[in-house]
Amino acid sequence: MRREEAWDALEQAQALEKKVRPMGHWYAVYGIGYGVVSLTLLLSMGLSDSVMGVIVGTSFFALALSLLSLYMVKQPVKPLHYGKLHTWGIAGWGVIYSLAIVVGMIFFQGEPLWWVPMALLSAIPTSGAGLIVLRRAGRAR
Amino acid sequence: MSHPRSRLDEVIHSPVRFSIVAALASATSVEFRVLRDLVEVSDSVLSKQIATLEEAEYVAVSKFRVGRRTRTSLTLTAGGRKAFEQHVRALRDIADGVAVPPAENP
Repeated sequence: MRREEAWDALEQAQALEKKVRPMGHWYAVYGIGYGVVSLTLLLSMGLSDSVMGVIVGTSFFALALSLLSLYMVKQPVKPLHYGKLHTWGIAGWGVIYSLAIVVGMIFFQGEPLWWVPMALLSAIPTSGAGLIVLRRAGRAR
Repeated sequence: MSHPRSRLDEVIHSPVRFSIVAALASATSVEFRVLRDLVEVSDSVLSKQIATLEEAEYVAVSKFRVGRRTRTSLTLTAGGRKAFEQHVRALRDIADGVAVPPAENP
């Protein structure tokens, strides 16, 4: 193999990387969408301080989660390190969400000083995972 | 020092297979139809090359259903990724002229 051929092959690999990486951008939409849904759920459950708030919040969450899952399944390209990012994003969200619900329902019912920061915090793990995918795709360009 | 050419992977060296592996190396998994469009080959050519890569244990193929459709997803195995990285390193060395013996006079 000559030097020119090696250069051509390397350029071809780089061109393919530039095409493939942005195809994983959908995960940013998924991650941020999941974060927004979680934020809405915690605010509606925590601040409404009523059974209706819990019912409306969980119904919205179930519907939004179904739509997000459908969106995810339909994507033909899974971004690099997708498994790790998704696992860490959902695990992080699970810990924060559980903490917000358990502590909030016992000690801070209807208390915005607890629910607003916790709702914002719960949006971070999956949104962060989505933004990491965007950043990596940007670096490939 | 040996010529970096000797470090090129024979399975990946073919142009179509190199493109397939390069595309798969940039994602966790890519569906068959998208890969076909990226590499710009027909279904049959892609299937044949994928079979070779699968035989070398460089690519894993998984099928799953979405609604009534069956989809085929392709993933680069850990061995495949390592082989591609090594191949790219060898290409870089060739491109940079590392350890290339001087040209012989005619």
